[in-house]
Amino acid sequence: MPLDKSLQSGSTAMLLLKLLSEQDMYGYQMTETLARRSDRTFLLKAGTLYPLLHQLETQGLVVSYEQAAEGARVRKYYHITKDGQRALTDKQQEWNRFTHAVNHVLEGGECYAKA
Amino acid sequence: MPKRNPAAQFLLDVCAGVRWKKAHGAITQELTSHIDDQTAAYLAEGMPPEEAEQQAVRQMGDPVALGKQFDAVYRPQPAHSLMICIVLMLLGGVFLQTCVLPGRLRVSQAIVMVCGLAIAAAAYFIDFRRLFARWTLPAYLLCLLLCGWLSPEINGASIPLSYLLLLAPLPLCGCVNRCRHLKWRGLFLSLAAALLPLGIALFLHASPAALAIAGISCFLLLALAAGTGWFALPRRLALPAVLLPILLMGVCCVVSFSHRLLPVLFPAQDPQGAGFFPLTIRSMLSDAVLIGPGAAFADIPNKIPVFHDSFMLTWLIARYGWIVVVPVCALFLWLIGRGAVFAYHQNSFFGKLLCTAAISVFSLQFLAYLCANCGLLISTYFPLPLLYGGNYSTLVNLLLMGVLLSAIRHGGLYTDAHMPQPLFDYADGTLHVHLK
Repeated sequence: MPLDKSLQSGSTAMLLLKLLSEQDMYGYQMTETLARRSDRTFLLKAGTLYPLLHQLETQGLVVSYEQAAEGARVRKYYHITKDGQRALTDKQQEWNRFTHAVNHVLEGGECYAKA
Repeated sequence: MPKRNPAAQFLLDVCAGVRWKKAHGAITQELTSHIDDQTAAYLAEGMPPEEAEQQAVRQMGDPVALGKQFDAVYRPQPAHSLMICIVLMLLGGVFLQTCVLPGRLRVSQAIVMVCGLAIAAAAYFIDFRRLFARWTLPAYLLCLLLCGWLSPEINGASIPLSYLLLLAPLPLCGCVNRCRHLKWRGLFLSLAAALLPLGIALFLHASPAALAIAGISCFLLLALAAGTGWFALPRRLALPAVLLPILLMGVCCVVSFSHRLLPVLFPAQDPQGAGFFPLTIRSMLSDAVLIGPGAAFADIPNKIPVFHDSFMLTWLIARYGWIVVVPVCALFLWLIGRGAVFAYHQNSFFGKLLCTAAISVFSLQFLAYLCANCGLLISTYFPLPLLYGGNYSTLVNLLLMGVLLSAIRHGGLYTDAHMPQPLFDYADGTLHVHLK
């Protein structure tokens, strides 16, 4: 069953920052890594990926640089900044609170997570 | 009409939705790379080439929606607050020269102000990364040489040359930007690009103040590059390598102009009487009150007309009290601080360099003026930028502000990728000339 896209939309930036916190990557590499590590659940299209990456760059959370690839090709790599690392930590905490709360509701229990 | 391949058509459709045309190159290059990677992956799976490309383009998503999303991200970023501050400074200057010191504003100055604004507006729309990638440094050095040889010297210094020297850090930004990851070769090329105009200007008798301001600003740019690993060298090696030649140059300048430094240190003992101004200024400031004319004011202004130009701030303090310093310094410090914040937040290294160059030259002029008006320097040489400047000063500083605003405006475009080709390129024993 395909995943409801609205579930993914809020977390895509966090997933990209997480990938970049491990190593610098270029756009295509990110989509492939994300697809592989999510068991092909997150199949990110370029239409979603690049505007988001450029937005993160504008916010100073990532920076880009160019590196020669095979042949005469040049690839644009993205690198997470210190601000990006901080934003990732915040987003991860936010995400943990959110999933914790959702799970509690779904399991019928009560949630005491701080707002 | 020949039919375009799917990838080219896709890219055209995406770019059609992005209104800022300068962004099209960067967008096209990155999306093309993605399509190529995806096509290569399909080819590796055994798909026929034509089908692989079509499939790769389909994987990219809707080009119209993508264009709209890029359009929202790629927008010029005008710094309205800085623009307002610059205009306020110019208007403040007009007010000072018409109401506070009537008759100081000449028609030629008003014309120069309008020309300066036109230059700033033109600079605002220029993509400096593209401009500085090609022929700027040789052209700039030629201007410096011609200016030094052709313009007359006044009090031992060529005035146009001194003002032209203030622009030296700008072409240096282009040179440093091109030297990324070139290790020692990059560092020495950048160093040469910084020292060459300073050496020429020293030889052709630029003013010591211009040499100091341009030298410090160039050093800041090189230190920024060395400190951030731009040359791919360890910081502990790159920073001293930048620092030492600049220090040597500084020592040469101090030795050359030692006769002008003595009155600063010992104003009362100067045999030629150059210590008169620092001593008078210190006396005027010590007698100044918070609001209203100071005790020493009545003796000074009419006897020494220079107090209306080089030491205008001291004159204002003596005439109206220390209260005058508040709006003047607030305006300058706000503009400098805001410029520094914009420089810090630039995504690309080139954007950082360009903003640092413009704001450092502007700040150093202000600092020199402030020091002279506190009795810590013999003369200012450079007037108060924008607020109370002469013709050259107004033109140069408005150009600097135009460059600063342009760097901020194009900030979204200046990534450290997508370098334009240089005019000359030496590789594999062959010199390449890129005319396009």
